Amino acid sequence: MRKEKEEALRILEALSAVDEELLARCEEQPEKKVIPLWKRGRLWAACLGLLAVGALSWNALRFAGVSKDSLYEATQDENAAIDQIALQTAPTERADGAGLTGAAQETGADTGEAEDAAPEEAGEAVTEGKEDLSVQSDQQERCGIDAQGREVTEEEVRNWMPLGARIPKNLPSGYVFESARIDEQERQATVCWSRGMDSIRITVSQVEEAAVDTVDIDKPETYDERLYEIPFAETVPAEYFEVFQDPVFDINDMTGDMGSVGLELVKSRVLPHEDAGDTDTPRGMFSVLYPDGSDSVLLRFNGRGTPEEIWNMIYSMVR
Amino acid sequence: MQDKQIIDLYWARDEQAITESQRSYGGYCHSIAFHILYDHEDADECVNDTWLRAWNAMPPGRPNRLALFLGTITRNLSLDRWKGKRAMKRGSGELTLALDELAECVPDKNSTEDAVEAAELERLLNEFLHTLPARDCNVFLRRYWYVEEYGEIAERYGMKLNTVKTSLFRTRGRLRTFLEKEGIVL
Repeated sequence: MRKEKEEALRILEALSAVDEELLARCEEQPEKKVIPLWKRGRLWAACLGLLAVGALSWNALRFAGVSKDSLYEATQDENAAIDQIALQTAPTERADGAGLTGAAQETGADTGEAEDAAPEEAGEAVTEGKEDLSVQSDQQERCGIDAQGREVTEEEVRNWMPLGARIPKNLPSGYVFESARIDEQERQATVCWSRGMDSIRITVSQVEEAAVDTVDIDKPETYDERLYEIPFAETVPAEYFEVFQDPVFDINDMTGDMGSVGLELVKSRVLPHEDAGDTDTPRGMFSVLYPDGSDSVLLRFNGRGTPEEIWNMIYSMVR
Repeated sequence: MQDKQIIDLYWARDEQAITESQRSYGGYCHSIAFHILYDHEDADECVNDTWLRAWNAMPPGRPNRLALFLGTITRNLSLDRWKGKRAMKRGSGELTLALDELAECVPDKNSTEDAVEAAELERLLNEFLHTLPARDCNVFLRRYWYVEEYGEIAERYGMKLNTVKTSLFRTRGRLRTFLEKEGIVL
């Protein structure tokens, strides 16, 4: 094989280790249907035509002294006709006014090899609004993935006792509520907040204390990501790997020494990962047990923020 | 069946795990393998090998995203098989084209430097991908992770074919610049 192709193969193979979140994003990207201008035009023409017919009919009926009942029937017929035409034409219409630049996207670049900025930028203008929607949808899907139960408001999830009381209130600055779900059967609630491309997902579950193994905080080799290199599957000893992937800290251990222990534990799990790009916020995952016999609560954190922000969010609930 | 339940079956060493994996992700894995190997029989064999690898990996593994975990195994197996076929001068398909494209990203050499380690290259590629706008990153991964054809990518994202090509052309250029700036030798 040619040398350059061998080297290209190295790149291709190295892509197997791409971050899961990037793969998941391209897996979940909704299909973007470009509605050609001619289809949009047909829809508008149909609507205008119906409005014109409706207006003429209304005037004709009014002047002919038609009764209210027959007028109602006529209106129903018109509504049915409008529904029928809507079904036959474009299925969706973007609310971002993309139609104005739809023609620009239609022209596009003629050759794939040309560094032709104008059509690409026009195309980008068309898709910009769609990407905003896609980002929102992506964030919601990221929050909702694997989450069970029915969707609820923030107020509802916080009032769902007793688990609602364990949902943190002091979110890192800039985070806003995104979505929440309650699963009564599993006795679990999941809440998601976002801050641009950053997100935080908290799941609180009712558990039996004896069924949860918390880590021994004096054994950092079982949970501290700073001790190992990525890929963890190859560097973390097999006997610790299961715990390492999903460590559970006891809140009583974390609150030791005026909370400084907790901060260190969070620092061991929330790391920058040296990701440059649209967000360089540290990210991580861990769980916290609030032991109380059969009414214990397990809080699982998965998201982005500085360790100080994350710990402050959790510690503020127990201070 | 949900991912968590399938993973629990692996952990319980219940062979139903294989059946459920095939049911949920057989088509997905086959698609990945076929894009690389362009041969249904070879793709089927890679998919079957995927279940064996998954069986050996869980426990102790408990992947967050089972689809991506299985897909990555399939991809790696398919690439290995492709290399074997290539050595025997058999087969063709989209991967050959994808490799020709990626050859553009290979930075110029400084003969005094050692080739980068695999782990470092993986880290740098991730770093690079995170610098890309979402759309360009998605298109890049669909082309070089899933080895999808331009037309498939264009249809998936509602893009024109030439827009896909332009996006990939620019991204490859950026990748080459990035690798050269990092002083990478492959």
